[in-house]
Amino acid sequence: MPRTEARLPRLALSCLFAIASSAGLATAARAQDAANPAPLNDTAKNWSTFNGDLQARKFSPLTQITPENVKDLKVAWKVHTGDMSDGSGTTPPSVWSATPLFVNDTVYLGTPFYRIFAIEPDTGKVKWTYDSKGELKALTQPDLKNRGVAYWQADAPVAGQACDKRVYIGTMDAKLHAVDADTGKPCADFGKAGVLDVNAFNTTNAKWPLSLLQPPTVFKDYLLLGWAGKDWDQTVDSPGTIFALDARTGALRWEFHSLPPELINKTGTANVWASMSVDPERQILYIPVSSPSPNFYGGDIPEGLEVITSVTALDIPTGKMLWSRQLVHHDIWDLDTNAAPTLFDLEKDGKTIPALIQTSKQGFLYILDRTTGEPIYPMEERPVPKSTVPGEHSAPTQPFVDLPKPVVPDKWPGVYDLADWASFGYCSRTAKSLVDEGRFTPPSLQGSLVYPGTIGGTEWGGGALDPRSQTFVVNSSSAVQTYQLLTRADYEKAVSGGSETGGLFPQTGGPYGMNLNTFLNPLGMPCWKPPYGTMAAYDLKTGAQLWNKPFGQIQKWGFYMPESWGTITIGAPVVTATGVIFIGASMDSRVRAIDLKTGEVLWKSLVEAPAVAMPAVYDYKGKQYVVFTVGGNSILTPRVSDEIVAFALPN
Amino acid sequence: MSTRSASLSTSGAWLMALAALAGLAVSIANYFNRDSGIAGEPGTLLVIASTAIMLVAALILARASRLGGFLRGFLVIGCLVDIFGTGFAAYLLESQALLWLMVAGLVGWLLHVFGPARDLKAIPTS
Repeated sequence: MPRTEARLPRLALSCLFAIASSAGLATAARAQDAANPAPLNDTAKNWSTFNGDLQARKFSPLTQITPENVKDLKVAWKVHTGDMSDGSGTTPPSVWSATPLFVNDTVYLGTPFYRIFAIEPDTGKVKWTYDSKGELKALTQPDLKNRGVAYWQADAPVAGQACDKRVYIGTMDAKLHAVDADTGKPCADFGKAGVLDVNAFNTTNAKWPLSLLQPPTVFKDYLLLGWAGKDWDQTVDSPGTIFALDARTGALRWEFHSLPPELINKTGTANVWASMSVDPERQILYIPVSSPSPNFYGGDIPEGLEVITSVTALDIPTGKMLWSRQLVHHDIWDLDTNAAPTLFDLEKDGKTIPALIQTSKQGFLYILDRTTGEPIYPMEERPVPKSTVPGEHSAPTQPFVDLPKPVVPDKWPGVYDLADWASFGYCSRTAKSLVDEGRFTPPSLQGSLVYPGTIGGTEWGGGALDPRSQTFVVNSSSAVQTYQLLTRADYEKAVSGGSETGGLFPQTGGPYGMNLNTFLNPLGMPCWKPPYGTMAAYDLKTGAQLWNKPFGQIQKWGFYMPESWGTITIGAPVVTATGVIFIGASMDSRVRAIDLKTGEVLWKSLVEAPAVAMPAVYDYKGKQYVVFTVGGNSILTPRVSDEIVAFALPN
Repeated sequence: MSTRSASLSTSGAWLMALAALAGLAVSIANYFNRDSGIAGEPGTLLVIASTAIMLVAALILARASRLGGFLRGFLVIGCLVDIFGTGFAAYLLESQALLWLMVAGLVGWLLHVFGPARDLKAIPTS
């Protein structure tokens, strides 16, 4: 579930802010993937899916904006949707991470108030809006979240035929809406009068609605849908499912269950809350499966469950599992697989290997054969620390990947002197009191120092790939967290003691509650050494890291901290054929262009709030646009916005 | 003890006042302009306050011809501290306009203290 953000204590975050088928690739990229037929809806000029293409490459073949002229980018248009909340009133705060889509000569966006905006791509004039009237309540997430909309069109759409082209938006209260892409009118043949109640499928351990915050993945006439919930509160929750729906009617074609039926009375979730990717030629769906509930205690969960915290391949026509590669055994750290794997054909040692690269919270970059799930670069099982918590049976080994180099190191960076001095030694004293046995240090009753923690490594955006050079770029966060299990009695005392401000989670139904915090000093400064966020590039042909640089700037009270500190990053990059990376993702209300070759910042521009989304790149009437959703993440910084801003070169 | 002319240049003080006024305007604009990167931030409020204080002090230095030595000295030193403090804050806020205005304020301060005398008043020196 996209609860990662939700769990960051505001203090931590204030400090840390204080911290678009596929064959939409250009000719070069098309040549690269000649074997892959162009999926529906996609041209080189469009950005028609959440990740730019079904393979989640986040690559645009457009060439108008180059490293040389990117400095001349100017605002082309802006739109304010009015849909934002800082949480000061009765409406929960908004978190807006929607990727804008450009298709059907229109920019489409979903808002955190679950409305759809259709916008003219060159002027920013709003064509139409649709209001789902979704409940604006914190039903599963503490914030109103939306990561955008999905687009589908018939094989041969007839002009003027209603709903031959559709836009879909999901809501927090589990309603999936389908509207005509030209008019914004509901599609009467979908669900009931254009609305499908996905929660009708929520029949096991239902405690909350299956929130639809991530737009469905569209392939042919399938809508492939995951959901978000919450897995820190209860031990037994709704079990993880993927729904394959008919894009026209909403009828359920099949569902996939990540948990075996015999376990549904002991656990839950292991759901897919992030985006997914598709191999169009092979008709395979790749799903990032999260951890089971409760997140930090697995005493009731047997070993050997291969699908949880995994990347898993499903046959789209049947829904059958083809293979599953578990990335964390017996996950008791909430290390959800949290981003769509990027699919590509790896040129290595004179061979072309159908591959995928999976980013992760644990910071490993897993490169697998996407037809078998077998590692292409070595994955090694290594012994890891054993849990000392009564009842827990942590896994004796975990898979490690050394190549490509992980985005975060194996050991935490150590106490930052400045934070330690400023707190009269609080950081070093606390570090000494915590259990620290390196990667995969299990949660403990004493309190464990966990690195990377659940907010570390790479978040739901994943990375971007230049398929021609096979260069992969990815932003990541370096965050140290403390995990302490509390016996039920101690948990009740802690709650009644009034300290329910920084990460007390009940895990009701199990023997332990949880106290999870970001490792900060009393002044709110991170106790660990910067950089807190970086961006890195990799040559996938060799696995070599090409560059790795601090990314973003921390702001505290408006004051910018040194660039060498970087920031926690949420959102993702896109790459263009000219070697320009566009990214928001930082906590300092800036969007940037970065040189793919060197990592140097080529251009940056202030926007209203942190752009915690991935941008879209498109061409309309011969002009290349880069459009950012600027919504902020109210958990990270108080600054939220309702702004969509498009940049282009002057005429 | 000797005396020298307290020949502090009013033109320098007026330059400081202008820089402070412009700095105040820039800071207020930054506070309300959501594209400034520092809108609504405590740090921006801080420079609004510091430029306002600097404006008042500089106006007193420019307009008041009969100031006691202590008060004049306090205001002169206070203005210098304000200029450097606001300038440093402007650097951290990445407000280049404010930073340059503080450079202008510093020039005004230097003119005020070391520039040619106009209205003279004897003050004690040692």
